[in-house]
Amino acid sequence: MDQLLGAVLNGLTSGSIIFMFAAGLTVVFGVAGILNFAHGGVFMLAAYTAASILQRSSGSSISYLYAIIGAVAVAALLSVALEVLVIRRFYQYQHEYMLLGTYALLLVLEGSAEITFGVDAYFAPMPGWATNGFSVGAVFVNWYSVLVIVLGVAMAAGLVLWLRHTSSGKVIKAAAIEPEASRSLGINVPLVLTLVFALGGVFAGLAGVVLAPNQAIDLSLGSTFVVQAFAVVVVGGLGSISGAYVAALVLSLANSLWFTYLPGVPQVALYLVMVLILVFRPEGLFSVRKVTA
Amino acid sequence: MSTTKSNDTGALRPALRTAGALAVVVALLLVPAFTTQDVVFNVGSAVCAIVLALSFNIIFGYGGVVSFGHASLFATGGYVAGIALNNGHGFWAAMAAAGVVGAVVGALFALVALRASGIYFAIITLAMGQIVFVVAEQWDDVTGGISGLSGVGVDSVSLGFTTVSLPDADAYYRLVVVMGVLFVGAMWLLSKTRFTRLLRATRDDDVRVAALGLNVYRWRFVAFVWSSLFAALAGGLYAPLGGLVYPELARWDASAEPILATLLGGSGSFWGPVVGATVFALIDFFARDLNSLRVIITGAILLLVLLAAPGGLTSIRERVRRHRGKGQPATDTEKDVTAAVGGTDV
Repeated sequence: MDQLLGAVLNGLTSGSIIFMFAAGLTVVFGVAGILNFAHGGVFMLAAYTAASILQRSSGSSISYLYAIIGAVAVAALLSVALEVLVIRRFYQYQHEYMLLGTYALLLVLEGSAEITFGVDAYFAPMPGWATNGFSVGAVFVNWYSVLVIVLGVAMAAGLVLWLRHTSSGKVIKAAAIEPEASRSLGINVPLVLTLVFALGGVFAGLAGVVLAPNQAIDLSLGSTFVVQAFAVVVVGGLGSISGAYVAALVLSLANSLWFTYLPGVPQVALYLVMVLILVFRPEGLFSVRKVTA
Repeated sequence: MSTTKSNDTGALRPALRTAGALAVVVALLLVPAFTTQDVVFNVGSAVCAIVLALSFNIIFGYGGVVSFGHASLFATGGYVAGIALNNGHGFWAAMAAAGVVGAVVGALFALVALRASGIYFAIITLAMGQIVFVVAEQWDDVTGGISGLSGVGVDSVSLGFTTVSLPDADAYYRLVVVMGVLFVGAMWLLSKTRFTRLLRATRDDDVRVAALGLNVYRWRFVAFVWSSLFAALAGGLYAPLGGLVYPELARWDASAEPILATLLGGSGSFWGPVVGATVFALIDFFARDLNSLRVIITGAILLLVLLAAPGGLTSIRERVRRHRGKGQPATDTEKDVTAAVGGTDV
């Protein structure tokens, strides 16, 4: 029982971080129709920014605020720059070619990260309060996990409500579903697309800050996360935020349960469950056509 | 390629091409005589990468779907051949085993992934490739785990009437060149068959092809199995070259390489992937001491090609000719590629 509880807790924590990362990816897909490998590079650079700020200030309270501001700013500005300079030109291409174009961008970002931050991993200190917590049976739950899980739920709910019930959210949906009609109603569609990339960057930045104290930040981070997040976005149904949230939790739970109960067997749960779901629902769990909610 | 070839050079061309191809093969065989061990290994790897890229283009260029898991089929071939050779089996047995297992694994991929198309197909093949990667990395008893299989080698190869001994790495390299040329030739012949023409038709308009009574799913399935067979054979050929097979050969970023080579060279021509894989091998070799810059250069070149010449390098010649107005329309396949990536000049 304790073993199960521990596995579920781990699954929820890692699933929530993957969702924060995948949220940006799925919003951008829903609106711009682009599955963006470069998101992984943006996230990695945000995590590096956060980790290097925290490492330098050896974890004083105010430094966490600086880390959040720095990582979010880096990620949002970089996302906007990539969209305006390069990705904008891919919109007319087929999905497969966009995938490859943004993969090329990921390569450039990974190389740039290596030049800027070097090959050695960065370690960010965890704030003191986050390592405290409470016990449930024999399982210790720290505040870090609680924070991450709550943030994940808040972000998912906030995004869905914003897109459904606010006028700015509706403008984004309009630009996604009917770009031509939106234009004739006076909506600046290219600007909306750029802003959506900025929003995706903000999420990637937040995910980077949240992740930084929990694991070593190295050059493999972007490509590792982007593959898991692709799994989440596709299994959830491309463009669906609630789908991405459910998929992130389901895949991460599968992963941590497999790890707990089948420790000797190769850890293929994430990909296996993903393939199984897509075999039975080829368009994902919550398939939507270009509607983000 | 083109159906309306001008006649002045037409008669000379096949002879020139054959001579050119022979010159390339002779030059490849002479590489060990003039260069270092390091260069020989890199050229041998490039030959395997060319076979892999061509095998990928069977399903991409002709079938019209992107497999993002092809490196895992290459790695499967490498592991199977490595295990066979390390257990004392001969070269031919190892290659046959690599091909058979690769084709079976590929059939499994196709069975699952062909239920979807477009981006879903790409992502499902990526996931299946990652399963191969994780199994290779963690099934220690069979695959050697993270460190992989080492000491894979071939010391002789039987030709039926005689046995040729392969005393050193240079000798095995020459076998790689010969086998590589045979595989490329086999895929060239495959590209000339009715099968490939029908496959192209499914790419261009799968609805119409289905309406004509052809089973699109079946053609793509068969294409994927052919493609997997050659990918696995390339991997089997690669294993003894460096003597080492390791999990990263199967990882998704390795699967990006044949895709990038094909796009760079151009998927619309049979030789496009050959050009692309060669250019990548050259970049890799000359930028090998520049670590991080190498990645940036690769990424930047790809972006340039995607933005400036979406049909790949081999389409540039055709574009230049059209631009000068010397009469030749673009070939059908090139039109398809340009249209597929949304170019406006069709």
